[in-house]
Amino acid sequence: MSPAFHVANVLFLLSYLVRDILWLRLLSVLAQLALLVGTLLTPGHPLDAIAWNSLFLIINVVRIYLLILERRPVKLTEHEAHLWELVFRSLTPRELKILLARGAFEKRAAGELVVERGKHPSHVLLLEDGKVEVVMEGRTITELGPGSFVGEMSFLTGDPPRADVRTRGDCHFFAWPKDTLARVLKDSPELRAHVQMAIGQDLVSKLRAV
Amino acid sequence: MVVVSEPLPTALANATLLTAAGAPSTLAEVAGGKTMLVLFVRQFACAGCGEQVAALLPQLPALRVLDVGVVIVGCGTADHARGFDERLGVTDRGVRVFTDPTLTAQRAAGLSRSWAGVYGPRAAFGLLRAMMNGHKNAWSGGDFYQQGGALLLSPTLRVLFYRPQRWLGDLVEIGDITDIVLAARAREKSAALDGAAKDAVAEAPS
Repeated sequence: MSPAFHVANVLFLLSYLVRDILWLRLLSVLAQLALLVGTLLTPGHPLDAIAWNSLFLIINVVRIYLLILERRPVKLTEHEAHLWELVFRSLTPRELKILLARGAFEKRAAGELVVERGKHPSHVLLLEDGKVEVVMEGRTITELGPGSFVGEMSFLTGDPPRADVRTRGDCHFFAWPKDTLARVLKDSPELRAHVQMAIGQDLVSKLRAV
Repeated sequence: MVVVSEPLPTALANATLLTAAGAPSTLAEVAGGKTMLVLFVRQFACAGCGEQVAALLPQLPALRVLDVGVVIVGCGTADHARGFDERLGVTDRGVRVFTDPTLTAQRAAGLSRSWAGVYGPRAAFGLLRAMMNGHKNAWSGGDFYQQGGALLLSPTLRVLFYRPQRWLGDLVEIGDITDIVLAARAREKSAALDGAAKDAVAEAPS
């Protein structure tokens, strides 16, 4: 038997001893390469063994690539880090990136109407900086500050808004298109739980304030 | 018969549940006074029930924020309930565990008891999926053929959500229940804003 088979089996043995899945897969790839060499050195080159081994090798290489992508450090921008501080502390930076990849930061000028009574808003907004006022019957009922969701009530209930929401001074928002946010939350139960908690916390504090 | 937006049927409200220590109380006593999610598990040892609890756990912080209580009801003995809790650690997360070995609550809730729900192809797939996800299966945690389900009850014991499970592994999407509570809270907020607007108009100098 070729020494390559022994090298392969020692590498397999080592791969079984490590706990980290990335190391396990890396050692498995080395072992499979050694096995491939051993098979090629075997008289007659058994093609079925080569084919199976190559398949396992490809699967492991793809999984290693995905693992490395997953483990790359994530750097949040200043605005993203601010949102994390304000609302999404329960999310990992990577989860936050996934959530924010589906929307965009927006700046709105002072006095701009961001939610209009009776008109379904197209976006769910998260106020990052500035203040907005909730206006009903021509009167300001309450003010909202950084970390507040805007347009979330229509998103949750499907009902049209019963109040206008207007910026007081320049405001920075993060905006998700409603349908996109709904789709992201449907596809990821983990993200959904975190976002539901964030919106729930915001709703409860608004209820107390009113 | 359990109907959404109707009051909880009396037979179900009066069904006696046992704690893991064997202490009796009715479902109305357990659930009344606050919004309550009642999660019926098939029995205390099935892999599908472990998978259902695993799906519940990430939602607990959101449910807690929204002031929703959670109870799990199974159908084994009080010892089975204790073992289930020790294995999954749900009490430590604020979830109370009860059992109804007589199946009165399950019958009153309209939850089925079926052979196909345990041996059918969908159940086999559900069992396989749960076991592949690392949930252990045993056959001695209560009635073998009983199916589970979920109820969301208002503080006044009105049914807000009802979903019977049809087979082992037919999981209830707990996120949908959280959405229902979120929508209810949003409507409360809307009503509070209406009230605040009326007050503001009334207080304004004419």
